[in-house]
Amino acid sequence: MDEVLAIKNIFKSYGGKTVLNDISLTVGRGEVVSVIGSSGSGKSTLLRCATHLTDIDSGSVAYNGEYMVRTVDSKAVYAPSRELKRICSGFGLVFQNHNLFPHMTVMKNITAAPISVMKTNKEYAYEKARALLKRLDLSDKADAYPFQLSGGQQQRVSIARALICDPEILFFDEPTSALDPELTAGILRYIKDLAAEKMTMVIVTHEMSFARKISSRVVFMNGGTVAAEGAPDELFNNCDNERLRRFLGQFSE
Amino acid sequence: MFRLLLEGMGNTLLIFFVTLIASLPVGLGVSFCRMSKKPIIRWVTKIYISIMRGTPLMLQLLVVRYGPYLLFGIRCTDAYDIYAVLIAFIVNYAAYFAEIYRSGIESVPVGQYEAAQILGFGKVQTFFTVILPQVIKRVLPSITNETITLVKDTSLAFAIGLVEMFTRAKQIASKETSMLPYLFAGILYYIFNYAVAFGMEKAEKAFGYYEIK
Repeated sequence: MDEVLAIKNIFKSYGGKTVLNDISLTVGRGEVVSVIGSSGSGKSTLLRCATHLTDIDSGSVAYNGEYMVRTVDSKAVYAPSRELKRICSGFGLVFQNHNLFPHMTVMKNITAAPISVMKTNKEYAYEKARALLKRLDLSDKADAYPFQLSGGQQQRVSIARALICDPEILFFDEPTSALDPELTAGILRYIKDLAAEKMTMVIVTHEMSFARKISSRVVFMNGGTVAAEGAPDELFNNCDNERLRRFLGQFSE
Repeated sequence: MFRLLLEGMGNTLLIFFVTLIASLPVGLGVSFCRMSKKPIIRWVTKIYISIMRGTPLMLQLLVVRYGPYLLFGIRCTDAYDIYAVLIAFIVNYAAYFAEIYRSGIESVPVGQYEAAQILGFGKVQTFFTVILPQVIKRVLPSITNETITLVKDTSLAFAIGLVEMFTRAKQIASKETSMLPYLFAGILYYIFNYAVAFGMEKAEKAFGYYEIK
């Protein structure tokens, strides 16, 4: 299988508390992997470590076989900065609270990276942004500022901002946790469309039915480890795992 | 009389504009030192800011003006007066501005840096395209306060005998045993500050096109 992301044996602790305890996870091209688990299970930290927002203590993370970080003499060594930058340009991340730039219009938010970082031709970047906005039903919002948008629209803009860089893999960190149920359904629909197009995605989520519907694989995290992993139907019917059963039980009420 | 006061206004304006134009960028540099990862730079800057804020500007001005002679026996001509004022004011105001910038920079949510990092922005690029525009909006009201104080502080140049508007007012007042020069000087300072406040309000409006949550 063509592995886009390979995380191997990563450890991470904060102030003596182990948050990630020997986690391994591989994601193949076109796969949609949902990461579920209760708060504090390490899901978000895993995402932060995979996207280099947080440095790992040991283990390795590779994209397309290239190491972003590996362990040499029990120390985590990151790739040299130029190479690191190139590797990191291969993924995108949609934050829970979108983190749009408040002083830029929707259009500027989306085109900032292609124009300033990737030095794309301006007209081309704008054209591409307009196509993305159309796709995310935001065509009339190009000149609006983030504060003028609803939470769901803001999150859609942040998805467009991540997509314009043509990432090989897209991470979502609880993309709907800050939204009400109606807006949540809206966002999930767009993610579903991406899945249909075989976009490789890793989604940290609390939306169980959504995870079940769109994922090719679901990972259940507990106490900083992968407690269970498998195809959605298989995992959601897994009654052998006591913790998983209890976790899923909370959602069936 | 009015003419003499306005002549004094020349130096007042000079002190004001040079101090403002120099200490705003210098203050930004100082704020970087204040937030430096190197403890030694951080501490030296912290002590500098603490002294600048903890002692009267008039005292600092006297030290800059007479320090070279009293400490090292270097005689300075009267031509040095204006430079002494500018040095003392810039060094002092840079310290205040540095603290204002720091509070502004630290109030930008960490998510803004993270979003910029994920999008591939370098550190310098992140600061100038993402962080600084938001910092300016956040700190403008505090900058306005300091700027208004600066207008009034220019009168401290009186302490070393530099002729600016306040010195002039005092001279005329004692010569003519009249209260009027003070009244007129007061009115001129007021008008000056009114203009400053007006300008800053416009600047705040210019940055008001978006909201920060």
